[in-house]
Amino acid sequence: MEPIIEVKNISKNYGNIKALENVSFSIWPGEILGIVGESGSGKSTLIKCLSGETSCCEGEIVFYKDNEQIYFSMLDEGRMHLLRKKDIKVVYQNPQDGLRMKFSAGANIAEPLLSLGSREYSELRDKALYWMDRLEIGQSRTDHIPENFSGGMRQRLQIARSLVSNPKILLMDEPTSGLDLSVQARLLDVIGKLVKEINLTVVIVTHDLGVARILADRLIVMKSGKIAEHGLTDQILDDPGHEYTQLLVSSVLRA
Amino acid sequence: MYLGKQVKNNITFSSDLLLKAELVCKTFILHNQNKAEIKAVKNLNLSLKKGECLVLSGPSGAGKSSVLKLLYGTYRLSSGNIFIRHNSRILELSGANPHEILALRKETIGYVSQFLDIIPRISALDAVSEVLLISGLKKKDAEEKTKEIFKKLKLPEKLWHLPPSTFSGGEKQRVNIARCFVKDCPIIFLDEPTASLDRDNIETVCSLIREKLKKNTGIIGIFHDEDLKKTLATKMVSLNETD
Repeated sequence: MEPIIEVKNISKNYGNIKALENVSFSIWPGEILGIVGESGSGKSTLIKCLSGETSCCEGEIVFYKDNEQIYFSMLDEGRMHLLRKKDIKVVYQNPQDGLRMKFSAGANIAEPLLSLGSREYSELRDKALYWMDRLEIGQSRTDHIPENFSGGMRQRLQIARSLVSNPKILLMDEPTSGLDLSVQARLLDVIGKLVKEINLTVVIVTHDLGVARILADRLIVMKSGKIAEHGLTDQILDDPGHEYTQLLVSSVLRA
Repeated sequence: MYLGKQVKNNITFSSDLLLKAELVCKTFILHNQNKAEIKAVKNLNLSLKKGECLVLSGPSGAGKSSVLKLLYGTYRLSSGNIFIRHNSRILELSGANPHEILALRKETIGYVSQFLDIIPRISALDAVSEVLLISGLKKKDAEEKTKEIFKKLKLPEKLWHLPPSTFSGGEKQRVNIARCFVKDCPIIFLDEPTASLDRDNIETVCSLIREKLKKNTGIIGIFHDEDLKKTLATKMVSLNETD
């Protein structure tokens, strides 16, 4: 098996603040990779680099798409934009960052296809209905706007909108924080099932180690812009080796 | 250095050998407790052959569960070697990459732990049949097989479509056992699989274990039930409290 993304020694500075420093790792097709760490440790910056939303100061990110090798540093703006539109999608912590709040739910899902050139109305409608169904949003809500949705439903709509273009990679930045527990469980269940069925690759940033344990195959622990530790999820949580990971794991309240 | 390498290359792995641990040590270093060291496992040697049931015994705190976690790759070795037959080759655990360990767990080792870590909203039926779906079975066949093992384990039918988070300890444990026993894997680890089961259910689990042994599965188990230990064990490894 070959990786789908390789992150090679990337660094990112904001002025004189080092947000990421010499970060290297691989992402494998079909896996769920969890990224944990305290706020300010560089998790969100890492997601921004992986999605091409921001460019790295140093290092390289390589995306292996079918038989093609795509070097992020060599992409012009147009091709990067297309990559972000089709293959690498981001699910934001706040659904309003990834949705059009005044558009109907159906239009929110269909829009990415429209922007990729699809003009077949019946196909757009079918796909919108299909993805609403997969994310457990009732079809009766097709014409409602997300402003009138609950937080959990908005988050599922955002995921539906991300998946309609059939991306290779889904990057999720704290998708379950701010949701109450039963809603969170439902979202985890939906994500878990989808990944298995459509061979999606997921990177999920979370500060909830319970979410990480249930969902992630592997974990990366970030600390001050660097990788403190990485390994299989159970290795990191049950046998943390790094000082910071030990602190993190021992700080969790067991429900 | 040279000697170490030689031992590695010359390891004899007869065709009926499934797993071998050599001089395995695990020391936990607690960085936030003044770097306190806890020696959980010290110089452990063991081997498991096809059809064997190796029982780990010893007082509580002797490191029995730690041994299983080391063999499963959850705990990373401090020193020593663990070799496991995986498909047609011999995998050395500490040198394996994460994806090899995941494949090993998917195809070679079944593990009944003391906890059931699954997504909260998934039904018992889905939680177990999922294991078979991953290995390529069709949904209908997977569900059939799952129902069969639920019946064997006498899990009430009304629970099948409910998420295990609401189950009693014994019911959860049977789901956990079902998840492992529903598929055929060459090696099974059992960490007190009968701890919260009644006599009747213990008998059932016991016969499931015997069935697996007959099919040449190798089992390493921790049982607190003395009778169970005696009837199942073909081999005993006792661990003593380490310092």
